[in-house]
Amino acid sequence: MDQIMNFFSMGNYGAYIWTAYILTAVVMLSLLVTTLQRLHKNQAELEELQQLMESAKQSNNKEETARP
Amino acid sequence: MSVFHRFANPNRFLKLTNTVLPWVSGITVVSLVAGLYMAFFTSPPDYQQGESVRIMYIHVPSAWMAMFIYTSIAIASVCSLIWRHPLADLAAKASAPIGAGFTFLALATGSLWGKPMWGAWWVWDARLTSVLILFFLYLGHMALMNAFEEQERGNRAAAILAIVGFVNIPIIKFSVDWWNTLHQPASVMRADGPSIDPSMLWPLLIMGLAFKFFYLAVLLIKIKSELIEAKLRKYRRAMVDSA
Amino acid sequence: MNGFLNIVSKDLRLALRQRSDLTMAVLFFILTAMLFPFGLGPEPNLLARIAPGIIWVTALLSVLLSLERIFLADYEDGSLEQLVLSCASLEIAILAKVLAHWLTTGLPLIMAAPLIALLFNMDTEAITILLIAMLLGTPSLSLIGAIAGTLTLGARRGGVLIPLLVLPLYIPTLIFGVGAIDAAMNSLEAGAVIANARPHLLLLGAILLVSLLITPLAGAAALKQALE
Repeated sequence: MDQIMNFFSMGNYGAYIWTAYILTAVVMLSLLVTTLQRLHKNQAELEELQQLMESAKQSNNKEETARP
Repeated sequence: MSVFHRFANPNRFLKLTNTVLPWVSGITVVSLVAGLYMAFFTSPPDYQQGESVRIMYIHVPSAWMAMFIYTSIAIASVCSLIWRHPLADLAAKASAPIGAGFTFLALATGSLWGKPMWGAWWVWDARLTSVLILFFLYLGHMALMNAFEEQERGNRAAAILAIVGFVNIPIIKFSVDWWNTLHQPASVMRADGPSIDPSMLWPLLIMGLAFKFFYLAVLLIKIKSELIEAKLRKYRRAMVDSA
Repeated sequence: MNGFLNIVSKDLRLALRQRSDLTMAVLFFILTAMLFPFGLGPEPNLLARIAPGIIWVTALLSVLLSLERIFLADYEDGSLEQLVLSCASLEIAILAKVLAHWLTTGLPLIMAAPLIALLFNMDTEAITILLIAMLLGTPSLSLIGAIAGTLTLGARRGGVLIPLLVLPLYIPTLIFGVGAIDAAMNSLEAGAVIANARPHLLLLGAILLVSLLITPLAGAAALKQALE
């Protein structure tokens, strides 16, 4: 237990060291998360749009074949 | 030039990204875990600074990245202005927020290290001031890029600004040698070899590697995302035209 | 060369006709500097010590106010294109614009500076150094500002963008401008004034040379894409 406490107190610099590391983690993770969110949003939109275009093409074809 | 043009094709670039990205992410995770382990468990406390030296393992790599990413943006800007390379614009645009993030981290972790060591959160010396200027250059670059109706104009204006602002980079690098300052002089990238002990140098270098690959991973994802967005715009325009 | 003089004289005539622009910068300079004795108290020694910083910072802000008008009016009414065509090269046109801006902003500020220096209780030697420093420093402010002026042409919220782009790049000029006067004021012997201020003045000169080199190139590139 003492060992763990010692590790976290870091020779009384714990507050500074852990704040620095947590801050770094927060900034880097938020960079990564926002980037991934944007990518997934774009990918989803692209898929949706491609399906839409696909179905539009098919219905166009049907109309043409239906015509005598 | 031929390699250069080969990847100008967005589809080819996407394919390349998809094969490279798992490797880049893997290296990032492995080196980050190894670097953190070494930083906390195998590296000794400094004989002067005690345990607080552990902040160095994130502070110094952040500062390296702040300068490295700005340099990359400047190089991409030159490519964008001379060869009008579309991927160069995307790379510059995607890099700026990451660089601003690392510059912020370099300033913030430096502040957290400075308080116990120097007794002050901030001192107005040359190194700190020039890094603060770098942070504002990043912000200006991002603001200018988004300030125009046409993205193309924003890209070019931001590219010119990035190249002009590059004068700041050598000032940051040499500020600790040119002016008397509280900040320590370079101890890794020196002409006569690093002056710090291997037990501290290794975790530092591995953390530096981790940060660099983190940048590369986020950069690739961002460019991929931008390329998809470009495709979306193209499709939407096609739909509007046909309708 | 003809194109160069044409641009300068046209801008000067315009500035003389619309005197409000010309007096605005100087009035702003004097009025803002005047606020500090009220804010900090009228103690003469304190004022003399902080005078260099106050004069430089307020001068910088006054220049900032006038940066947008270097190119924007000409850009909006379309005469910028003709100006550029009438000149041998874009670089020369930009230098002409910058010179006209300095003559209508920097120079009046330099002339007003001794007045503020006297109000702040600076001694004559320090004022001399202040004037030399401003002669070397204010052209750099116009030059660096012109880059931001060309880059923001046609941008949304260009007026808000300019301070963000320009102020970080102004910091070195501010540091050495103030440093020169501080060094002069701190020298004990009369003969050492110039010698002490010299390194700072040389660095101001170096900044001027670098911006003289960079501004025409960067400004020309920015103008080219703005006029495309």
